Amino acid sequence: MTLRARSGLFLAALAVAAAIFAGVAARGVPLQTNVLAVLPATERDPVAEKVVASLSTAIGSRVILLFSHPDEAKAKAAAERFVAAAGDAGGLRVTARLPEADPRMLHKLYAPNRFGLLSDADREALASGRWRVRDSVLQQIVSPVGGIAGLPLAQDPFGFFGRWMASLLPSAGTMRLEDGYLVSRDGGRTRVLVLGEVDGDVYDNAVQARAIAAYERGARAALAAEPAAEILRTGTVFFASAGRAAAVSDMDRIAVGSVVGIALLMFAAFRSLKPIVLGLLSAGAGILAATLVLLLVDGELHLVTLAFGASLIGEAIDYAILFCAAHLAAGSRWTPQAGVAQVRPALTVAVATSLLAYGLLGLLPFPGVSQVARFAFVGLIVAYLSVQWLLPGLMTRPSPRDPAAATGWAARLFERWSGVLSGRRGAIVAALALLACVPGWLALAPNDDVRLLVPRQPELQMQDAAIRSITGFDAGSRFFLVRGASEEDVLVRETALTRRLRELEAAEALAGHQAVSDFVPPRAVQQANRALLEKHVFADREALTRTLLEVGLRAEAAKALPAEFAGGAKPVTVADWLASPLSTPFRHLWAPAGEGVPASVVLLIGERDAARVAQAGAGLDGVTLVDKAASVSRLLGRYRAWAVPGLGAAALMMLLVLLVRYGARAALAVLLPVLLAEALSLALFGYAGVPMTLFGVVGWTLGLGIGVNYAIFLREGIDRPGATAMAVMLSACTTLLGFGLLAFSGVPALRHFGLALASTIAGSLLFAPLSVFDKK
Amino acid sequence: MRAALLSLLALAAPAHADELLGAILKRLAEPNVVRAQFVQERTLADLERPSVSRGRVTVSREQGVLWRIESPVKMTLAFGPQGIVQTGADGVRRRQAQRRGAVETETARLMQAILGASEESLRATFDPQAAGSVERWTIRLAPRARETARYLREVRLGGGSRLETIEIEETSGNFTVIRMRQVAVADRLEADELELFKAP
Repeated sequence: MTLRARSGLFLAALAVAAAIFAGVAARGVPLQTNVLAVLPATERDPVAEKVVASLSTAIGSRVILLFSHPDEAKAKAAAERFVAAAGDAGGLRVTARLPEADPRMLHKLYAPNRFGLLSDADREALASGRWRVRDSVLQQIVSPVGGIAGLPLAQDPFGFFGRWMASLLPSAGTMRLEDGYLVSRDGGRTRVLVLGEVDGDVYDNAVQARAIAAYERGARAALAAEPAAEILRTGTVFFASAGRAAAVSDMDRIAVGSVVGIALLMFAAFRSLKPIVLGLLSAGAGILAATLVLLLVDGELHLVTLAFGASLIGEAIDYAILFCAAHLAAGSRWTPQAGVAQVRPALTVAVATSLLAYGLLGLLPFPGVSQVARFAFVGLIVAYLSVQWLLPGLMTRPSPRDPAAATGWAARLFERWSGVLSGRRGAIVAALALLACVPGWLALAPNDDVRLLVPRQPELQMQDAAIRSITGFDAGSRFFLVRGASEEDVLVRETALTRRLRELEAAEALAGHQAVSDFVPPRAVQQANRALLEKHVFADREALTRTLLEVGLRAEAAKALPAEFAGGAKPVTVADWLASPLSTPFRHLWAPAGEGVPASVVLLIGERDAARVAQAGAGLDGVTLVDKAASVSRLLGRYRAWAVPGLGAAALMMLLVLLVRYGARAALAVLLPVLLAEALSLALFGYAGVPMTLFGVVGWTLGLGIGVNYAIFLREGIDRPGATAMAVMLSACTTLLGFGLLAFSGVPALRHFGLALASTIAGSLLFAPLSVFDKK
Repeated sequence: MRAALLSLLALAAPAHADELLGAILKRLAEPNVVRAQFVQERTLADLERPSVSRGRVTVSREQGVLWRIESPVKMTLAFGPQGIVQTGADGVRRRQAQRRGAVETETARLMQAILGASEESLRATFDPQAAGSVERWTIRLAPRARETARYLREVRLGGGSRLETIEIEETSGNFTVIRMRQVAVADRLEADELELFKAP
């Protein structure tokens, strides 16, 4: 096959791939923006994982808005305007005014079973033995507000039922319920709470866009009507969409910055546009192939993979650079066959070491990280093949430039720098550099917080904090999962938990909670309550009736009560509660893992002391705190710890390849520059106070694979040292432009990755002459 | 001319009523602490006859309202910003409401609003309408929020230099009249009174 035919075939294959990609893209590229999706399942317990999955949508879709205005009516008007306009837009369901709970529904569900329902305080009072029929009913009668919101005196003469019902009311946080509005007043402003829910998965691009558009439309309408109103907002959707915007703008910046920078550099070096075109073609072939393969295999592409893919241009283009440098170096003696033969050994060693490093990453059990590694794997192999099969056919004519003049500057620069690092001086510099690293290494501190995956959004975080302090509500995501052998078992275990939570609420460590057992006490508790009433209230029915008559109750009422107690003994069940419309807002709390698994969820509202709340479940059977963020952080920590020795393993693997090719002494010399660079990079993190994260370790692993290439290129050489030096410098600079820009990303994880990689690359370039110490 | 005069009057009336309310409340709120004896008559549907109770009330602008019933049962209700603390005949203090937004907390606020004469908290819960003169007045309080209106129809206050009567009309038909006398003012609460506000 001729060179041209092979190139043509390769181009045709690329065209087919592009057509398939266009077909896939036309249906919309499935892009996963949920940063947590990079991570594997966190819960070892499959039920917990299932609950996390089913609840995270419900919890994540919440939004909380706060409208404030000096004038109360105008604050409410602004909130109503918002609700109307945002509701019309669709995508966001918001309510300013909570629906009124119908007292008749409460009575229908509970009143027939009221002798089994007691508030904690009343249960304690009865059990203490100090409770007296006469005092209790008199207190209810003479208190100016006694029984004001409950059943008539005859049905609830001691106020037991009224107080139990009061305990059912949802917590209003620090707000007050007025006319269905949750309101607070302070600092001369009235604040009105608006609660909402996003329609659909908040990480879905279209859902997000619709919800944000609805919010913006509502906010515009509210501010147009009441210009002095202020709006605060919080909710996962706002953070996710801002995070997405930041990641997309990072990607744009990195892609544009690297393409423009690389093009300018290449033009300066080669004085021709052809190497740029060939370089981009080679890198583009790699990226196209990798994107297509992963889309077909995985079904979706993660945003992180794409961000990384944009940076991969920097590495893939190195192969083309070396080829073009060989072309320039050969001058008029150029033939494509000889050119390919000249660069093949260097490229093969380079690609072999890189694939080993990436392959190791691919073994990490993070779906996202392994996708990144597979992306790199496919992309680099295709770029490597394109240099051998595509580029020769497109570069048949020799360069018209004088090779000595074109590469002289690089040769001189390299010569001078090699001189600095030659012989004993090189060893001294290396030793001093390592010595200077020590304090930096000692200052290294790990950080595995999952929030590193999310860009910092100070303005949104401020609003979130303001809403939390004003309302006592938050859009937190932790909850307790309670499991048991049966419905009763779950309720009993839940009660043990909610008792502790109530103590925390009294101590203001927690604003509130939602639990099914608050609405449906366990059967055992209902029976115990009834037994308490039997013992302390209804034991002597005649005496009871007498007392009731004495304090002034009508005769028929006084007689009806004991009869009614004797009549009804049917406890309220979860099924009764589920059948009542009252349970509608809380149904997701029950059987979250499906009908067959007796389990419930206890939601936490407004955690102020997270550590104490987390302790609430300690030692309770069947109770687990589900904290996705903490689980993920722990997991990140485990993998970071695992990845550090992995870095050493990757270096060893590369050493194996190098040993085969160069023998012991030279192999160590080839590896030395990149190892020094990694040492310096680690110290830099320590000195700069940048935490050591899994993402940094990933950057160092990739840096190891790329950085060693420069030493390999220099070691293998092409026939003119200046041309090799130029290729190495160009390669390093293009990689710095590609990855280095990630160091300025708003996403801490990408920033750490970029910083680790860029510093490793820069160091590898600086120390590269050490690899050819014996070739002088 | 007559129409013009009438519309002027109509404009002037609410302004006048607001001024009157302001003047009354200002006067009521002057002392830091007010103590009085009270007689309360509650007419409840399920009682043969109205229940009459007697006791003392202490209103502190800062702490809240202390409602000390002496007969027919000994009980103290402390309506404070945190809810109601009830001290029974046995001397045991119980906190009735811990949850914000609960009925008890709201009734505690209600009592403070009514007895504390703070215009701001009064207006937060009611639409107040004053009538009469500063020397002899009545204030009708209609609940503003539907949550309160569900169980409370109207509260009427009456008095002169001090608050003298409170009438509470519930939607259930229950009716309460409180009369106060031997009103005395003071600078601060006694230590034992302060103690009653504290949650157990």
